Amino acid sequence: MLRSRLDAVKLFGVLMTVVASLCVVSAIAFEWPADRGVYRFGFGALRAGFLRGVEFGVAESLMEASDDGEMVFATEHPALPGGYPLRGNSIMAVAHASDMTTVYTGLEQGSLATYLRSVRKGDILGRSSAADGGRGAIVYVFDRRERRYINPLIVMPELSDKKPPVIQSISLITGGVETSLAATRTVRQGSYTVLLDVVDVAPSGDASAPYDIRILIDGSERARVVYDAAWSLEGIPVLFGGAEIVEYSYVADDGRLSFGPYVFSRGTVVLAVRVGDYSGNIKEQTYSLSIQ
Amino acid sequence: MNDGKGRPGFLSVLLIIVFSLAYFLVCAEPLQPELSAVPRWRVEIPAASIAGAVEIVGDDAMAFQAGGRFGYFSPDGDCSFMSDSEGCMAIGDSAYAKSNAAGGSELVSPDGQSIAQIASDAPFFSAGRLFSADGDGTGITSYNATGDILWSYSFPCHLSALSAGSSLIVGGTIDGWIEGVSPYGKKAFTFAPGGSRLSVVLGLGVSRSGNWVAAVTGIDRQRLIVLGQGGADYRVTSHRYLESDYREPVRVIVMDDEQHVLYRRADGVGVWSVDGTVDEILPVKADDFSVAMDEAHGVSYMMARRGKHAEIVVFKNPATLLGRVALPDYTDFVRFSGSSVYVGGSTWLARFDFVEE
Repeated sequence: MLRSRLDAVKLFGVLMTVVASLCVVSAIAFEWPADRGVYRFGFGALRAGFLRGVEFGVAESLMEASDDGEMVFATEHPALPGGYPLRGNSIMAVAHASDMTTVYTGLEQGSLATYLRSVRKGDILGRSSAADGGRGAIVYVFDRRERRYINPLIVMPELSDKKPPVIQSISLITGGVETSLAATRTVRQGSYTVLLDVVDVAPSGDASAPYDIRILIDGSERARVVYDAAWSLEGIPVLFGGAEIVEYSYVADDGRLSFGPYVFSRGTVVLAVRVGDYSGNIKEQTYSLSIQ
Repeated sequence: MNDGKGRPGFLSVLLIIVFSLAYFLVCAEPLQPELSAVPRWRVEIPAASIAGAVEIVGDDAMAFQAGGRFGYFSPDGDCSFMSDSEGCMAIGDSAYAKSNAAGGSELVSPDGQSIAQIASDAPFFSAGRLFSADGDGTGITSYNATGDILWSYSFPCHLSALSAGSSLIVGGTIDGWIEGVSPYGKKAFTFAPGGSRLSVVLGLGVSRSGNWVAAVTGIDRQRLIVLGQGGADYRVTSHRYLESDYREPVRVIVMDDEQHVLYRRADGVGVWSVDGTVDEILPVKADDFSVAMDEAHGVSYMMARRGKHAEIVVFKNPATLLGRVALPDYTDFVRFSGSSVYVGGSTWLARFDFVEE
């Protein structure tokens, strides 16, 4: 009973997130700021942590304003006055009337249009620098009202994508012992954490992050994360509007994604992993596990 | 014949004399000592890297980074370690960090001994402590002297300002919030100044004690606000609207006297008191500045930088300008220590002392 209530609460959270996302989509008409949206790494890709924006990779391409707004902050110094280093040696922020702020980093020093005050959609803000330590220019979309970063895919024009995500591996881990489901379907009963290695191919062809992951056990949805938002609570980074998962507990040290733990009792358990991208392409893998 | 008419005149003269004597003896202020900048030494930085050429003992090592060079030197001008700063990501008096092959950084002591490997590729020193920038500009991690992580803290939005005191780290965000972090990595306070059409934190400073936080915030109109610790929370103790329209980082410093706040203005460096009773301007135009107090002489020194030009400004609190010393163009490095000033460029280091004459 309690589990079904929790599931209902989670489902409600997910539904509200989707509704909120649709509202945002209807209210905002942003344009891709660079490379016609051909990004390398999307929201949630692991780039020195959970990427809260979209990273482009083409050097010396122009970065344009995604929408009308006002430039509120820009600097080309490598660090803030307190010594805090800036990723890509620059940062620019444009506040939009829709309670959104777009933040641009990794623009080439000397190219930032720091003289701008009022910004029109398509105004050139700067030029993306050559990849800094393998990192390109990044655009973030920040919701000022909710104080959270949202997935830019939600507010940018949809990109054509017919390839489903790829589930590279699924493992169960308990007590430090890992069992790959590619090797065996038989495990002892106990409490297991599910570790996933999943990617979605970005428009550039690079391995990026999916948008939607569901874990189903015996047909019941036990976990669902939607890559819609990231924020912080009391100094702790939190992910996904409907799930509110602490980033540290979700992303393992090796970059795999962690779900659970789930208790597997003797018998047969059907574990299904369903991964989707923002365009709705879905990849699903189902395993019938023998629990001894 | 003596009708007494001369007595009032005599008394008046006597009173004037007595009053004058009393004025000079009681009300007179001592003359300000004449401070002079006396050169002590100047050394050329060796063209080739030197490691441990001169051993600098204990706390005497002073970090230096300018014009593509970094290293350590002593108050007497002995260079201990000088190298090209390529690969040097951050430097403090106790250690420096350089990039490592794993994409992170290596913490190295001034004598060249490896201390620790750090996963982050964005370390920095502030208030003598080692931190790293995380989360692509939304987070900060604190380390101890041996490179162990003490805590990490994630801000909701990109940082646009940061200041570290001895017992408080304060971040200002692009969406206009000020958030304090305790020495243990816990949230100390949050505050949204508001009062402007658009919210943003452009600069902030925290006092050494952590009791005062000053910030320049907002657009249309910009504000200077001072927060003071009251119990467990921080509250506005004074504020004023500014004429400026900065959209870039603005230097704000709470001086070590815990009384005065310096902030960047278009017409000079603004001087404000934490209680709002002082509102003056030092006529020094500077894009950026740093400040130190010289308690021995009762004055303060400011390094004011504008473009490639830099100068040392001597003033008495709150805003009495005593003198200025122009520095050579492209002086990248300035450090104050008591009455001594260490300056340097890519090829040279020098020291001069302020002395009374």
